[in-house]
Amino acid sequence: MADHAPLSEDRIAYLEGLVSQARTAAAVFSQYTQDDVDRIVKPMVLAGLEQAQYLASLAIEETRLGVLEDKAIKNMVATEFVYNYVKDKRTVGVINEFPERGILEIAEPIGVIFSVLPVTNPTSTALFKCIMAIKTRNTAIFGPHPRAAKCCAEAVRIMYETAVKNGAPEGVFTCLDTPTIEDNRYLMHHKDVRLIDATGGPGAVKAAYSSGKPAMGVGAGNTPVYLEKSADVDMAVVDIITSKTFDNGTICASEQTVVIDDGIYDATLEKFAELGAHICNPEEAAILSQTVIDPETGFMRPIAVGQAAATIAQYIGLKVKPGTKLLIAPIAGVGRGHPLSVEKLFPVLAVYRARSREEAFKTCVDVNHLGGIGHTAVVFSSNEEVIRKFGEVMNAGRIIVNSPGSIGALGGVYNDMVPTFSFGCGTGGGNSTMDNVNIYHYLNVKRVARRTQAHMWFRVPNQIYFNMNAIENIRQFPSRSTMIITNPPLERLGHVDTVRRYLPPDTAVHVLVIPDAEPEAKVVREGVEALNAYKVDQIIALGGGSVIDAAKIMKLQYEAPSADLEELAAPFLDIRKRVVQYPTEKVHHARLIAAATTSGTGSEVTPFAVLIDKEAGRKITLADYSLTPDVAIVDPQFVMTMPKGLTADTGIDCLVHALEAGVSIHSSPYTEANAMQAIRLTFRYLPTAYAQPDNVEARSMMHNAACIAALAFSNASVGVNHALAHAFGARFGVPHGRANALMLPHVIAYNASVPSKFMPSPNQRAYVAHKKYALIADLLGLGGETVEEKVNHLIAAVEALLDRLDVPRSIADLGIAREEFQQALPGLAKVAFDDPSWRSNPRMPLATELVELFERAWHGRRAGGQ
Amino acid sequence: MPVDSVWPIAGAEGVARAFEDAAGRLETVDGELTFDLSGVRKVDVAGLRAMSALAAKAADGKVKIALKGVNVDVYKALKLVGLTTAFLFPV
Ligand SMILES: NC(=O)c1ccc[n+]([C@@H]2O[C@H](COP(=O)([O-])OP(=O)(O)OC[C@H]3O[C@@H](n4cnc5c(N)ncnc54)[C@H](O)[C@@H]3O)[C@@H](O)[C@H]2O)c1
Ligand SMILES: [Fe+2]
Repeated sequence: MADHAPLSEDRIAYLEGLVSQARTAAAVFSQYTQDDVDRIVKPMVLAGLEQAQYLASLAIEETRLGVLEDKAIKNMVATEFVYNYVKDKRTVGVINEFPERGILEIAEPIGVIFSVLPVTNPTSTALFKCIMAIKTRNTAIFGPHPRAAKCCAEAVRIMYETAVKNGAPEGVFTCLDTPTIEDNRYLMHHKDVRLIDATGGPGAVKAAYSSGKPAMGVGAGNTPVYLEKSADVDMAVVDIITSKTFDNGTICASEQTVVIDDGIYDATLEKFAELGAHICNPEEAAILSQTVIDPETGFMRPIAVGQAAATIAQYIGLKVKPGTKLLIAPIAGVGRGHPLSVEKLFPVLAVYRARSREEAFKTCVDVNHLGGIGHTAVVFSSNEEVIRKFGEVMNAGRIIVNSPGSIGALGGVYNDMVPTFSFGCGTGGGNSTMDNVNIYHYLNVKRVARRTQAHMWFRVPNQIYFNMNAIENIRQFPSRSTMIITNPPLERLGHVDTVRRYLPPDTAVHVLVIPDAEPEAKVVREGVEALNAYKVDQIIALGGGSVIDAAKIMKLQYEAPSADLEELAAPFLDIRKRVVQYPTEKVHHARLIAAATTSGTGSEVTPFAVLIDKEAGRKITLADYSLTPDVAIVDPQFVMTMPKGLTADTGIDCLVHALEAGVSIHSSPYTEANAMQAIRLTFRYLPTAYAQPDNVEARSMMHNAACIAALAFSNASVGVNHALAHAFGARFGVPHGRANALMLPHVIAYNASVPSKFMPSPNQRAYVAHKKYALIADLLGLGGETVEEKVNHLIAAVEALLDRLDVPRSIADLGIAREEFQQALPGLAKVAFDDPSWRSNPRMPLATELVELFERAWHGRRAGGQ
Repeated sequence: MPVDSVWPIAGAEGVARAFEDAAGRLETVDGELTFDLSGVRKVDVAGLRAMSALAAKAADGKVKIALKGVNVDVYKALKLVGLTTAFLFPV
């Protein structure tokens, strides 16, 4: 601040008046409709077109640069072409609707814009920005370049009067009378100026960005042109001359250095000469570079800007033919040692002979990076590969193909880009945008986002065979080579022979007996070797969850040997958006038939498999629908041999699966139907299956219940009960079902009360678990009037069921010492917190609440409920 | 508050006139001055200026100015020029 002359009080009052006026106008403008706005824009455009010549002549007179005819064309592009682009665009109220995404876009005007106008395109930029401001219901204070103040003020006056006559609020535009840098600084820092739109030299742009305000500054260029050997040289030469001489080269997108392939270099220069260019010899080029480029700064001299080729030639004493349009100077390199390789906003063009495509590209990169990053680049070629590669290596917002750079960059004339007079140069050019600045940069776009229902699914095996002797159905599946995978106790019980009996006679049958334990990596590896050795096309997993899981993982690695289990086990939040994808390309195909011999995990229909990594002391959980068995066999004959303890443990697991899936935030009517039925069957048949192991009906129904519960949790997942049970079971070596039992009554009570933290759940209302439990109580005929009563009845019924299964009812009952439990508690809570199971729980558990739940499980029974 | 101190205003043009009028007679008003803007769909520049001038004149707080029936578009325009705190908006 100190290095600037302070503004006088009068000047400050003047500037404050402008802002206040613009702010009031913006407030009034905010009430306008799209029709109101469109009714103003059209007459403004017509007025601009009518005055295009007049404004061009004012600009020439005042700035003394450029070409009258070209300035008139620019004024027409700024009005007619811009209008053509904006006329049917919505800029007020709802501007876009995406019903399928539930999104509405609504425009909010910006308010007061302080807009800097350049000396090179003064009136055209003013017309363009006035039209943009009105179309978007903004008001603008214009700060023209001091050497273009009068013509800008006149352009703004014409726009203003037409706008107000057609209904725009008074004060919608003003233009600084005698603009100074101090004025600009004051306005750029004014609290009521909402956006700075700086089209001008680097000083103005830098000031805009330094103001701390949202700003759009657009930068300088240094356009490289690659004239590649496949190009249409005749067309290219005309286009380059047209563009580079347009308004005497004042458009910052115009060509600066043409890099020409060796093979066409001489012919190209001849063509240039033929069409009115003067090709400088080395001495002339040296004089030219010393006079038009400042050797101190390395930048072009302002005096040359916008001057005609003949004027420049005369100025430096160069003898050229009458009518010379362009001065061309060959250069041998790019950079400070080659002064003419910089931006030259006048009809002086550098040319460079490239001996190879590689050299050409590199030279263009050099030019692009010599003050022109993000701006414009041009290529002439008929080789698509060249064009694409050029597009990749140039850092330019506009890459113009086979057409003039300057007029091409303006958009709408030679191509379908958005018409503009402000070229964004992206971050490389120190700008906030790389676009052709347009109405959308003058709007705040608000998005109204409706709650959408995520797509849901219900994915299960397409064949499930159940009831006594369901195993017979394996007959129908053709197989040359089948592997039965099981474990020693099940083999001893004769179940493998039963399976064998129903396989077609022409099937070669192999049996793989794996250890009686949860599957380990080594076991899986050996299994895959066996599958390979026998070129298996069908796998029958005969066992509980452990065997079926082992078979799922073996099949995965047999079919896709490169599958990396560690990677596939990567965590995810939403299975549809997961980062890691399971393999789809397979070297083998094997049908997986899962015949369950326990009634709990439901692994025969689930997309999950658990692998133990003994060395690392952890479990790897794989989850993907591609793991789901192709065929599930739910044949009660295999579970008749389950010992009582296993019946109880697996039966409780089944109940917890159903209860957790029932209240899960991912539940759906499909999973709820299955969960409810599984709960009903478990309450009805588990006590009998436990007390009378030979009761075929009870065994059969429990076997179905476990499978049906798994259909639910395969798609709705489980909850915090499993997170607690996993942590506790692993720490104290307690079987899964038993660990689940300890937590269950407390978890129901916990989930049924008002969450201290709600779980984000877009597919349902966040707090319905209590009502769902009440519904389950009704289904079980437990009675009760209120939701609370019903929940308490359900808890009591669960407790009574657990009592009948003789499972420990508290952690204390397990014989674990209080001190040991207390010591383990922080670790248990941490492991439970890290467990993904609770992510579908209806209540988001706080770490302290997990501790509290473990404490309750320590004490056990809920003493008749609460 | 006597009913006759409610000044009904019709249309955007009416706003400036009513508020300029009121500014001229502010000294004679005792307590509260109420304008009914339910007939005003949008406010124009002259109207906003007049409202702003009246608000400045009544800034000593002797007279409270209430605006009845202001639609949300007009309310937002007042917000944009920082005038919502200068008036009461009875519901
Ligand atoms: N994939 C899933 O969806 C899923 C879900 C939950 C748990 N699991 C996994 O499943 C495993 C637990 O499975 P599980 O509960 O079925 O137990 P399990 O498969 O480990 O079997 C437990 C014991 O019972 C024996 N057994 C199984 N069936 C029998 C029968 N009919 N008669 C006599 N003995 C029998 C087994 O040989 C074993 O000794 C764990 O590894 C767990 O991680 C998988
Ligand atoms: Fe489970």
